[in-house]
Amino acid sequence: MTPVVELDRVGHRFAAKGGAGTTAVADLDLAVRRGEFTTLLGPSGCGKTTTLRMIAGFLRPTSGRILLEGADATRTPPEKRNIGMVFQSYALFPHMTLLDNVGYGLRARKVPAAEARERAGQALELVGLSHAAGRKPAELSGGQQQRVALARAVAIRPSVLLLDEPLSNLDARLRVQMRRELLQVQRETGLTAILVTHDQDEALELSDTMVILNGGRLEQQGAPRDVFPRPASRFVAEFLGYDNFPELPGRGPATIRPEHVRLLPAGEREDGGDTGLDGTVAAVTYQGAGCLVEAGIDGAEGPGSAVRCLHPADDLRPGDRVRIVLPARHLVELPAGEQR
Amino acid sequence: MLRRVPMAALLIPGLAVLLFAFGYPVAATLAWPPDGDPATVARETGSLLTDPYLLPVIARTVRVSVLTTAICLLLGFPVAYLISRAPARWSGRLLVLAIFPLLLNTVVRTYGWIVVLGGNGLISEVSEALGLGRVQLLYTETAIVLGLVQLFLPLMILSCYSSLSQQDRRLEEAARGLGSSPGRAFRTVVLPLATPGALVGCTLVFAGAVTAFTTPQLLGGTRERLLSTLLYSRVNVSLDWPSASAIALVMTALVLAVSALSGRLGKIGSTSS
Repeated sequence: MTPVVELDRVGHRFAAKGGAGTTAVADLDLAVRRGEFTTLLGPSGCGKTTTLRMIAGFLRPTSGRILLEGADATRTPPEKRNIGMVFQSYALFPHMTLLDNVGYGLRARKVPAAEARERAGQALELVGLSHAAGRKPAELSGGQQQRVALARAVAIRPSVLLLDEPLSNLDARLRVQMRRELLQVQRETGLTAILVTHDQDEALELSDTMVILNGGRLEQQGAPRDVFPRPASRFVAEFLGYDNFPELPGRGPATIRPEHVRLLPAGEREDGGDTGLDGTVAAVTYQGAGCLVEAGIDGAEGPGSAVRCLHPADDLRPGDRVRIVLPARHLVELPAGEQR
Repeated sequence: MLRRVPMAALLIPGLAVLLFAFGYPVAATLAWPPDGDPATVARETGSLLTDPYLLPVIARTVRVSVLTTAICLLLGFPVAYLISRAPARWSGRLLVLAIFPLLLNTVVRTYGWIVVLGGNGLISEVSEALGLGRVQLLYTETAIVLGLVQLFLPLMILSCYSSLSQQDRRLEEAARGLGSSPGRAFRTVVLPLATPGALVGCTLVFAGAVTAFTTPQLLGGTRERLLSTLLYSRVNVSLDWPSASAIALVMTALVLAVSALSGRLGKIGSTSS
């Protein structure tokens, strides 16, 4: 099946006065299948928004090709791409009612007025705002504006829904709720979606495929269930919250999440296969459900000499001797030679 | 945090100055006209509106002001749009360039036009060289409009720019993404949202054009009188104060009518569409 969106070695360099410019995206290959939810994930400046804007047509790649529905669309203007874009700032038209906002794309497509009204009404109903059809955007809360922006993008039945950090302006509780609603709308409409975000929880919950970018390059892509437990690089590991990079005697770089490290009383031994190290508790931070314990590995120095552990009990104090256990099934080996 | 009462108090100094320097003279013109009584001013106003010599002056003033406003809008809006959409490091410089003429004295700028438009001026010489004969643009309505447009264009650019630069640039992109051509996006999103600023600009330019004196005096001469130059000659040449008061009244009414109209248009624009 032809991918809905395909990037073929796409790159973008921002020109700079006199200088060489900066590379925002380099040689990016990507294929988004029909009905899939893909997230572009990475810290700010990783090129994720640039990539989305190139797919939308607001920015032209400086190299490579973009294919939409199998046809080369690299030079197609945005209005001819049939994309539904939801902006971080929502970008609702302040001088139009919600119904007119949602119907805007249909009128641009010369859909007959009666049908446009009906379809706009349906899209508003999909996001639960039929009762406010006659209101102006300024009368709505942030979450409601977000829903209208989504309805407006969905109403045109786009071949792909592009979401540029749409939830980042909402407070934490609403964000989690809107995530569910977003996923529900995407499932109900069967639309292909590409979401840009820097929030790993959002990516994990929504994605069929997550694409992690770093410095304009692809670091890792795959289903959350594959990527999360098996980060392929130190960058991905750090980004996903792996903050232990212990130096293990006689082994290459490895990483493990704090919640997977276990601390045993000194003298006890780990199961065969797991990695065990003797150490001393350096710091304990009380966190309610447990403690974040930092333990120094005996004989080690430098950044890899300490291990952070989410310890379920509050029974350790600085200076206590412990056996640090790194279970084999959670310890992820990282490619060697990657140093910071 | 300031409370409500002290906030309102902030208005007092400004209001006091307005009351003393504007309210009082206007009231005085009506109630105790210099060298005459209110009845004379009323009679003068009445005769002004039927006088076969003065009616054309009123018509010319309105015509010149409307033309000036329209040309300023047509020239100024695109410039303001360009400046508002230029890269940040350019928009500041362009804006300074656009308003630079405001820093020059009106008389100096107007004398420039005399050099260009006069019987021996640039335009006349070019016309003669082309075999079209000499043209005298100076002391015509065209000259006045040219001068006023140059005078007030920066004001229009600034007003339009203030509206345009506040627009979220994503709005245009949203319109494009939803299927609008650049032209349709401009017509349906940029233009309606810029209307309040353009209306303010039109009001300012119109009011300025009605009351401008130096430019029509120097470029229109005694042949093409406007209300402002007529007012001046009634006060300083014929010393006909009641008639001058009447002219001032008509000018004030014109300006108030236009600003009321623009306020009304602004309200319609924000409730409909």
